[in-house]
Amino acid sequence: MNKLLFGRYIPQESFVHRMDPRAKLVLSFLYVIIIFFANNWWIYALMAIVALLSIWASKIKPKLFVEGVMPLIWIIVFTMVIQIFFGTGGQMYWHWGIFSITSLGILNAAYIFVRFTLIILISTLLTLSTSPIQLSDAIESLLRPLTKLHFPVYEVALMLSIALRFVPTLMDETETIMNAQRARGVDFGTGNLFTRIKKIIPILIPLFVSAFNRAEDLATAMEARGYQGGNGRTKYRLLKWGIRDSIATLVYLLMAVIVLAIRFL
Amino acid sequence: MAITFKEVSYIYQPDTPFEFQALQKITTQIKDESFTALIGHTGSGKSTFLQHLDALLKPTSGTVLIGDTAITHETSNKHLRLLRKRVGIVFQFPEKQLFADTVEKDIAFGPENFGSSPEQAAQIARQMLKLVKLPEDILNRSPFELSGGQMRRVAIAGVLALQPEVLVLDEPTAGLDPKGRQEMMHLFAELQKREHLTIVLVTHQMEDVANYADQVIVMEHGKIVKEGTPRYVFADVKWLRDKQLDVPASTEFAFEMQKRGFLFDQLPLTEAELADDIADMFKARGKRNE
Amino acid sequence: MNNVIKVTNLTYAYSPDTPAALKDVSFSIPEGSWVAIVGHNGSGKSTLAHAIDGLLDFKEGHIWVDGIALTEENLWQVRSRIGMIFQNPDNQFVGSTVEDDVAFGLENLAVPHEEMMMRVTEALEQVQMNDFRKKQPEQLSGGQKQRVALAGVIAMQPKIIILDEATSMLDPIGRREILDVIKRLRERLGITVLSITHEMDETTGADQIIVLNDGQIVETGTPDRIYAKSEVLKKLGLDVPYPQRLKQALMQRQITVPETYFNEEGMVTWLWQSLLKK
Repeated sequence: MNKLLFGRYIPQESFVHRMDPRAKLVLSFLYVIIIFFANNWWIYALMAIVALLSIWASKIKPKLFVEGVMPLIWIIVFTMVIQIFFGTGGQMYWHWGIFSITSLGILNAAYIFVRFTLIILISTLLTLSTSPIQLSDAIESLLRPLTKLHFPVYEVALMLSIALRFVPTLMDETETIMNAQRARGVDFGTGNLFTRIKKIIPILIPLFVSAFNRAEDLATAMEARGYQGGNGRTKYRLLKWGIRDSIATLVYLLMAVIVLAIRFL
Repeated sequence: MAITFKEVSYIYQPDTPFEFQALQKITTQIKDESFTALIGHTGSGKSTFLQHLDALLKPTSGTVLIGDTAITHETSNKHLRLLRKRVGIVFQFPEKQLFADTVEKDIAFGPENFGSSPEQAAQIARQMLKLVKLPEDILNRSPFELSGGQMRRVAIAGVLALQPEVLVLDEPTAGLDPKGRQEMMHLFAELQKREHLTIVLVTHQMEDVANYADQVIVMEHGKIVKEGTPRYVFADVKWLRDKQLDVPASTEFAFEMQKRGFLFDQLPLTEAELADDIADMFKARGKRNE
Repeated sequence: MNNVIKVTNLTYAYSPDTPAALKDVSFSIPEGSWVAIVGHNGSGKSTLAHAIDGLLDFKEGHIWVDGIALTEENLWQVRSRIGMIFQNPDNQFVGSTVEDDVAFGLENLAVPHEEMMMRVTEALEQVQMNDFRKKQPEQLSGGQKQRVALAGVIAMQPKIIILDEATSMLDPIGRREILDVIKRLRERLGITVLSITHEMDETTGADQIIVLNDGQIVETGTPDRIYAKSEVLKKLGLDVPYPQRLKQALMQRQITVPETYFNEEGMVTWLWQSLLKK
């Protein structure tokens, strides 16, 4: 019952959910790269609009995005504080020893805030709207050219998907084993670093034993179902590039072109 | 030791989209030195209930009285550990919790956590091994070399080593074959008598409930839907079938006999009871024919 | 009838210094029948199942599946005729969702995508899990996971299904679900079923029961014939069917009972005839 959905994927129907995960992955990367070229408020405004438009198209509650930013808020604030006190240039408002507050420092801090927030928003959008398995499919598909260099793309993808599949199972198992050891008098909350590490052993060993047993069972089951390696297999999940993906790509490319034009022309 | 539930509710992940209420205002008592069976389907709240018996979970609202210690939402975690010496839980497939490099160390793990000296703990381990009917020569072997049935016994010995007053058993015979199952249940019945334990047993084996339990609690959707003696709970075969719960084989058989016109004062629970009833019927018939 | 599985003089030990897990085992299974192999834990029944699917490297004895000798060269041919369901519902769930898992075997057979879609849907309908096709394993009960495993096997259209203690980790509802599905599949598709179990009550519908002990076959026969041997079953650590147990309890109370085996209904009828019939 007590299960966090791994990767925080929120399954539902929307424009973004139905997009090809390859498109989502590549466009998210493009967005992050482009944002580093942004250097004035017009560009940031444009990029914020694209991000908000994408979020709107995903039909995911805005609250979840706020929750996505919150865990990182201290990192953002810390970086901003450093910029404010150590940044130089422009008009000087205050000065004491190595500390100074300048107009440029404040501006840079504001930029950093916006950059961080936008990057977190867009990557949160990717993970909330794309299941881990779709992401692994996307990576497999994008890496496929590497098979020519004898890189075992297929096997790596299968490994990844099986690993993802077993994350909740192993989380459950960890909880069960922890409960069993707590019932035998282990108190995980107390003690110094050394005793705490010692307390992990009664969890780690059973987990390893069970993981090995599972791996052995799984290998037998896969063999019994005719698995002979990745060569010559067909695929059940096919990735399909649709009109949505073309539309989204166009929007993002347009944004990229405008940003680069403002920046370099 | 008795354990009392007063209006106990438990909610997993409250205030999230995954919020789930597993227990709904449960009020009941596990009586001192009773053998209580807990039955119900997967997802009925049984395992959440169990974890409250050992304060592994604290109620979201309501109070659990373990002996005379009250556990509520506010109880600090610091006070819980000592309670766990008084209540031992054998989880489902307990062999999964084995970790030490020898059987002896694994059994001694609990006592050592509760402050026994290594010598004392080793001595307890030796005693416990005898209690679960395993030969002493496996003390220095790795628990992972043993057979499945032996591993389970070692794990159970590891819980008994806490010398608890209440022993909670979550489907202790799951996966064992009929003979192993029988031996295991005999072992618990014997332990209860000798050590004056209070036992709480979660099981799907209604034969075991009929043969060993004196109290039965039936759970469904986080609530207790029936409780009482096995005779009371198994009296209503139709009700249990509606709930897709099994009935002891003898009760089931007698129920089928009833349908063909046989009369029973009360439905038998065990083979011996049914055989006695039938033997009486043969005697009565013999007299009528004379 | 054709024997779809034939085993002769099979002997196998996991390592040279352990006692043999299988000793000179020979039997055959007619096509379309349901054979149950029973025995206590450690009797060698699971080893036997693994051997038939070529999951063990045995040196002594021979196995034929659908007329094909099980050898290194024919291994995959043999496996393509057998679908196996294992004990642990979690450890055989390869896919990230129900439909992905059912498709896993078909992907291995390089079935084209359109056909794969069709066969997955068909198989899921057979086990009544089509409504769950997008679900992830952690959202399913043990019984549902085993039904998915069955669908994965059916989709590959095997001639034989081997259930290797497939119900032993399930609750009563899950067990019933699986046994019902198997019965329906047999009626509809006429698949040969080899079920390995220590639960006698799961063998009532079988055509034949093979009793295994210490790696040797000790009894073979129809359920009625095997159930009647309560002494043997008891000695081997197996359950004696309820009517037999009741009969013995009655005998201890000086009541004469007929020798022949009764199932539950037969036993009630006999009691009715002796006690109530006017």
